[in-house]
Amino acid sequence: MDFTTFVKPSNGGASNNENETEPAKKLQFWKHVEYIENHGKQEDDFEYCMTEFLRMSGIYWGVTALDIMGQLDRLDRKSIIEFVKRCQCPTSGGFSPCEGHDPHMLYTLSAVQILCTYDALNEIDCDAVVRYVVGLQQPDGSFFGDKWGEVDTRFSFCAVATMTLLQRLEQSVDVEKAVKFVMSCCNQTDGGFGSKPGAESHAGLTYCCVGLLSLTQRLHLLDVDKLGWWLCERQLPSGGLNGRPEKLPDVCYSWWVLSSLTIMGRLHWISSEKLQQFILSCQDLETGGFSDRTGNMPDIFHTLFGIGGLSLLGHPDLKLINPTLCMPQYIIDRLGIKPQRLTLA
Amino acid sequence: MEINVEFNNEKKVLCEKIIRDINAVFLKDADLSSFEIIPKETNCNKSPVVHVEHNLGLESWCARHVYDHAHRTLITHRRQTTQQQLRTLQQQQQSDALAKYLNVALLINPDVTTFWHIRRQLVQKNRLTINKELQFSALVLSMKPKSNEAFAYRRWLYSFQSADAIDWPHEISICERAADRCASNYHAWSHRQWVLQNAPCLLQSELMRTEKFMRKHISDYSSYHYRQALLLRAYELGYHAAEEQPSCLLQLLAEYELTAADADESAEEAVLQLLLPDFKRSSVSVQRLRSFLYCCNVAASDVRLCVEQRTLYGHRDCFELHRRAALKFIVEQSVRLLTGVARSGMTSSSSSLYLPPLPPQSDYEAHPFLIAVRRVESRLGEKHKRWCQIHLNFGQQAEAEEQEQEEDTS
Repeated sequence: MDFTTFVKPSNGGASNNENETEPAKKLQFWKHVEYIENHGKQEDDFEYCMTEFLRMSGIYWGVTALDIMGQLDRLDRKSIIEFVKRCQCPTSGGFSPCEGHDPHMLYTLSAVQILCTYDALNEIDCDAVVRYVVGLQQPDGSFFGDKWGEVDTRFSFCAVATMTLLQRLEQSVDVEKAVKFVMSCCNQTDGGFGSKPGAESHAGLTYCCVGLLSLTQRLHLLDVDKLGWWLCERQLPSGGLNGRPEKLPDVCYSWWVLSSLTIMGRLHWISSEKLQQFILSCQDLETGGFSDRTGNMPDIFHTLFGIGGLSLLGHPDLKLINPTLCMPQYIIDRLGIKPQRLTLA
Repeated sequence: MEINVEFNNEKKVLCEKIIRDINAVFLKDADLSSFEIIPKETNCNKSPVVHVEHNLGLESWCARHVYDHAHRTLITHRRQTTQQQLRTLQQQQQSDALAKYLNVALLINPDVTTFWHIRRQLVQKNRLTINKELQFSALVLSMKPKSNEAFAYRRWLYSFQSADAIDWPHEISICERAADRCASNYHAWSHRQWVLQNAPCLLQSELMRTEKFMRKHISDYSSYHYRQALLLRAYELGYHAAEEQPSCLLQLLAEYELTAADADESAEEAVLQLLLPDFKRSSVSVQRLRSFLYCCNVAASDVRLCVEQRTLYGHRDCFELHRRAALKFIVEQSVRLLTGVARSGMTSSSSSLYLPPLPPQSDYEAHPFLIAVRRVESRLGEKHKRWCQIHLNFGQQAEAEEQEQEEDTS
């Protein structure tokens, strides 16, 4: 089963109204729609095989990006839901990235996110998902990614986000312990968060930890000055954001840093103008899609985060995205979920 | 259509042969230590499997086909019922066959978590041995030094062995090699922290090794962070080296224009008077004090290192960030001792968990070291001053007072 069968035949591209001068400074809206629609169509077997292990997340990235662009109906809702259903493991309740692969916390969240977007949670066994996630929590509050025992704050976020989306956070995992574990991963030297206690501060993992605190209404535990400072240090002269000191800028960090700052009410601490320019420069003008940085090959992962970053910056062509859950805000509103956000300061 | 079927069969036969050849190398060479894909897009009608000394290579022209074939075979196995799968794993011949596909698939695509899980099951069924698996994961790391799956697999394998039977220094060298090859190798340094947790006796050698690494890889912030964590850990454990005088610390204090009142004082005594004035030493253990001096001295030598490196190489973020972190260590631990936050006795809990904030800056007035740091650091630019305010609790009120003082004396 590949992604191409989810795509309905194209209705012929809408006309591109951009002027010829400075195309890189404008959002190539329809090019990106086309890119996501066609994602998987031209892929030969090798590429398909190589990325099969994250297929569920790939679908979530595509679905979310298209929805933010208001073009979700370009995908085949029915096929996607059928695919997601087939990936639920009957014994454990968790979701695999694709049939034949083992279930994992990461793809369980992606599956639930897709079904929330399509308002189709009733199609799966939600109780089994709760059992799966609860079963992976450890005595110290951390979460395994799957039964084989890797601990990572990403999994903590996945667990809490999944429970939140299923409206089961109150009666499932031990929230207090989960929060305690996440706080133990905060580095006092810079205020950032790593994957495990003592691990290096990393913008992606910081997003996961800040997101978890947002979902559990515990943002007051953050040292906002320290962390805000560290997040702002991610902005480089090019305007782009990196994930840790001395690393190159990458469009996906535009999401993780920006969303963290938005949750903390400090979005205005970075230069939006320069960041927007950087994100736009990562567009592939030929094929559509975004790459990690200017001039590289695009992929669906960076496309979502490029679009997401632009939405947070208030791009008029895009729907609002929720910074905590990285899903369209209207979906979060529909679910009645209210992740905590600090007031602007 | 017939041609297609024939072509596909030919491809399959060729892939099977290549997979056999690769596994033949595995059997032949017990010390196989590295794998790489050799960029060679044309097929010269000879085997794409290259084996030179203990290095295995696979020509790139066939990688996609071989992977595709191995991948399909493994996923087909996984799509069977649990019972059917267990039967396969149980059976010697069938599980050996599975291992052959796993070897190739994971060398080409180490990111596929499920394939590592099949290996774990084979280990559980005693079809694969722990030592050979450690070797295999090292082989993967030679190809992809950032592979978290490979590091995670090693941690899982070690869970079957007792801590004192494990060659921890060897594990450190695996981390070091991976870090050496890939800048800011997050997973290598994270794994190294795991090793240190299990083998705290390596603390001293780690302090030496990390200094060397920092001097060589000047922009690799992961190594600087690891060193910061190392120092925190050393202090947590109450570590100190016997009979070592805190001379770097004394030198650093001199740079802040602080010297001992009595020239005959030992370095140790001088430092204690400057960093912990009027401190009731009986309130903490001798070990705690010694560790405090030792660790602050390491931090002071790091401050000096960063300044030297900056002179040598020009500005680098790492130098500035690490200098700040080292300075913060000295300030923070001094204040914690003075305000009684760190009591005597060693604690094994994480030092980053819910620590109370530093006391407000008004308490610093009687502390010459803190006043000196505030004065000197404030001259290093607005941005750095702001950092000091946030991290060292040097408030803006004090700044105004200082300016007054300076105007008075001028």
